[in-house]
Amino acid sequence: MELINLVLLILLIISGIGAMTFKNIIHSILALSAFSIALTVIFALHRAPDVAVAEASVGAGLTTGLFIIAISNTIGAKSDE
Amino acid sequence: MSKTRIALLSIIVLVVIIFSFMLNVKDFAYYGNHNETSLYYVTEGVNDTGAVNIVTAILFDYRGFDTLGEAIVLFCVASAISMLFASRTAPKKSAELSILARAASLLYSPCIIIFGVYIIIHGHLSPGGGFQGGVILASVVLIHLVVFGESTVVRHLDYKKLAVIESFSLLLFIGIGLIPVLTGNAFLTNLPSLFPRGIPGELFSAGNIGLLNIATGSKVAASVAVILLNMIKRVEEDEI
Repeated sequence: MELINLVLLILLIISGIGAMTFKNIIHSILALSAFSIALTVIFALHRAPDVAVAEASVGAGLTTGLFIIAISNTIGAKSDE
Repeated sequence: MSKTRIALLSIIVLVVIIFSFMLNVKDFAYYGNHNETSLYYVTEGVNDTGAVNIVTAILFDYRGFDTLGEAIVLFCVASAISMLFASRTAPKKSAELSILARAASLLYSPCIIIFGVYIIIHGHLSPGGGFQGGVILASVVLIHLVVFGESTVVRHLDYKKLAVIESFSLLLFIGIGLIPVLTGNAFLTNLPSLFPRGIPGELFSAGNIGLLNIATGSKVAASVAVILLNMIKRVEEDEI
């Protein structure tokens, strides 16, 4: 339990840094999605299932899609290639 | 001062602020049962509201007015986005994924819809509620936008009906809240008024919480779908 928690927290830090530093914006959106998934598991482990469901649906699902739609409709995705 | 120095300095300042905040937050009796309000919710929540899920009980009963505010915020966001993208049109042609992806998405979309409806109508019994279930329902639209392409979805999904559903769910929420007013109670009162209590733990229990969940769920699903359908709009090629 403690070990899983620690691994997930380290994953949070890594994916957070990745979301900030990746050159390709699509990659940083995916890192943000991984961040949300790790956060979902942490919430579920800490017995906050309501927040976990909200984080999984909004953070990992909807925001990722919205960000990708928004980036693909602006020039942001093209400027890095 | 170089950019890296400014960045380092701001990180250090942020760390100091966060740590001082974390040291002070212990004084608010954050842990344990020193907090009277949380203790009251845990011990009296089921008695007061009839909802087994205390989070939903707080969201839709004790703090029902806040939830109405959140629903109105979402309504304003959807309206503003539709206004912002009003001059653009949905793409006439769009690419779709392979037959494998299309068949798979048709197979699992009904399951996602059932799961979303389950989360909405079991909001007072199990984790979740109107907001989460609504977003899950709207994610079906998102999946279909990716798999079938924007133009197909726009052709099959009636935008005006979605807008009507969105507005009427908000009115339904307010209407459910106004029913207790007729009998002389406060806005959004739950159990002492007209709504039956039921047996806590069963589907038909907890007074108006289930109805409010359904209203919020359809509201959130329609709002998010409206936002998604607006965000895929493009500027016409010949206008540029």
